[in-house]
Amino acid sequence: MNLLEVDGLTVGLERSPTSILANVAFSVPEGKIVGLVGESGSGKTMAALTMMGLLPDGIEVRSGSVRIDGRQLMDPDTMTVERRAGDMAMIFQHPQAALNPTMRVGRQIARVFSLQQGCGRDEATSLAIEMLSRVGIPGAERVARAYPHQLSGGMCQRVMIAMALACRPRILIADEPTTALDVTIQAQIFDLIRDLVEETGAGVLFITHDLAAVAEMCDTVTVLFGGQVMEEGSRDDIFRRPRNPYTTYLLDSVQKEVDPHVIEAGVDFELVGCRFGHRCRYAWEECGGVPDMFSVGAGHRSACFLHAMEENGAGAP
Amino acid sequence: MWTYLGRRLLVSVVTVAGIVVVVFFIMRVLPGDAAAVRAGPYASEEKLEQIREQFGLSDPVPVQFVNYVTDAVTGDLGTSIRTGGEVTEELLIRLPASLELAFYAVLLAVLAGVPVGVAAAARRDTWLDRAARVVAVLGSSMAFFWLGLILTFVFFFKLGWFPGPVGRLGITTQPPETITGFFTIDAALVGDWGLVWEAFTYLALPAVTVGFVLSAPIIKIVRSSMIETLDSEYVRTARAVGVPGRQVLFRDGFRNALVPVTTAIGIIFGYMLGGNIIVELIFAWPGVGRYAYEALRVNDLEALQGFVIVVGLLYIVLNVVIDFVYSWIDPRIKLGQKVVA
Repeated sequence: MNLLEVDGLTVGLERSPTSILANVAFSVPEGKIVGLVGESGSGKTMAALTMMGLLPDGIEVRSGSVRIDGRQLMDPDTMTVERRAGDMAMIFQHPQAALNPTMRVGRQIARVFSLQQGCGRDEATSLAIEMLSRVGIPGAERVARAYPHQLSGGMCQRVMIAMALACRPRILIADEPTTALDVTIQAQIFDLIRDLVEETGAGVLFITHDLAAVAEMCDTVTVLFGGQVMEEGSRDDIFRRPRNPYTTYLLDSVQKEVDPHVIEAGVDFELVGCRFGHRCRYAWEECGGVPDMFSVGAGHRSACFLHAMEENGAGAP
Repeated sequence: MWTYLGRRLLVSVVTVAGIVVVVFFIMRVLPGDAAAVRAGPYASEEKLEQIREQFGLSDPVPVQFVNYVTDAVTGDLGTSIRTGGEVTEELLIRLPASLELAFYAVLLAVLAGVPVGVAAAARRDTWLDRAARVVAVLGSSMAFFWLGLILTFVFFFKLGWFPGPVGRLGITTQPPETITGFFTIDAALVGDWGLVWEAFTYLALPAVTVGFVLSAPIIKIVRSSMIETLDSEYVRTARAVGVPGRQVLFRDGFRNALVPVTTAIGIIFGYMLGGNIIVELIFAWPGVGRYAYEALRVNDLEALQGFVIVVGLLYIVLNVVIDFVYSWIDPRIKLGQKVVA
């Protein structure tokens, strides 16, 4: 049973036909880590902010549903996500910038406890200190009294995680949680997230452009490009048996030289059909339309017209 | 903190010395002859000589400078050639009038400007935001003398709600005993509430005149720094963990916008420290601005020098106070470090 189910999510700029996310669907089962991968501008963070109901001004949800445990969070009238406390929490890319610079970190966590559980100031403070120890901060009492600028980036990310956990989320969204940190700290944060999944049974949506991180962390992977889901499947499906030309290209870009024109071409958000179309070496006239998701294996789906050809009996090019 | 204060004091001494030197020599190159003004149009050459002798104007300039500085360090800023009185004393009598007006004007500007700026930022691009921007443009393009005259015309002459522009109190009213020099506070300290009220009625029009104009920069800076903090990642975090909107607005938004706002308030308060000459003239306000204006008209060198030096001193004090406020509102700022607001 999937804990989180996102379906048909379409998000665009107000007063403009441009859509940033087009019919995006993915799901996160309980206790699993699902990777949402794609290059910069592919809509990963937009998807997360939509789910959190934190979209910036000027961006609107056109359609789609976000369900937790089958409960619909999308308000059909306002087209915004109405979260309940404890549904979802999110950790961000720049931990230091994501913490209030004029508030002691212990207070920032305690504030969440007060809000979520209605407990008093002293109780909230001791809960906050407890939470700081739980995310592996030594000397939690001292750290609780520090301001964010007095802590390292890795410490701040732990504080951020403690803050997210204080919400007791069913789903934790981690938006490139280690991009701003160095490698050794990255490994520690990854361990922490894995431990927390085991302890709490929460589902994690792990957003990143770092394929190595995906290979290390994720159970299943959804590949996003230009706001469209290109392929989804288990980690092994994606890394060992990629079926979508974009996934292949993405994997190739890590290992070998790729055709520079593919990189420089960028994303055309005005494009109606497959957004990878003009960069894809297999593109043909059919690619002007939007490809359906084709099942290409157990739990493995890919959006490409090539699969339509295969189904019609023609050999792959 | 004490090392900081010590260092600040040292720097201040240098600053004041610089002010004294610059002001002294600028005054010497101003055209005009103060002695001739004091002696009157029909004075004889002997009379002029006598006045020059009396006020030390016949000495060579370096001698005048040394004399001036040795007196100044003891707090004696010389004698006004216009009134014949001690400059230090005359300035100290007038300074509270200017400071009281400046204080209430800035207070009004802050009380009006901050909520308007916050509301404009919180409700960006709504009618409220647009109205706030119109007020800000109106305020910054408003001339003191025009607004002062219009307010006097409407609220004194036409409606009679406020007293006329005759100074800090009615002509027949005895001012309160000087404790702080602020009439509103001194009268309250002796418990004379009628006098407090009267002082406020006389303050109202000049304070509103200045306050309205000064609220414009406050609205602008509050709005823009609030927009910046409300778009910040930590405000997004606060929203993500479910902090209610009002708390986000003030504890996460406004609290972090305070440093640039404090800078702005400090700048406009500093601007008001020397007294607002135009407003003091229109409302017959017996402050240092008017004193400086009168001194300038008749080439009263020592009075002008004294004025500039006192205002310089006030600026230095103000800056130290602002530094303390910075370190208090933002934990990232340590005393003695530069602030990039």
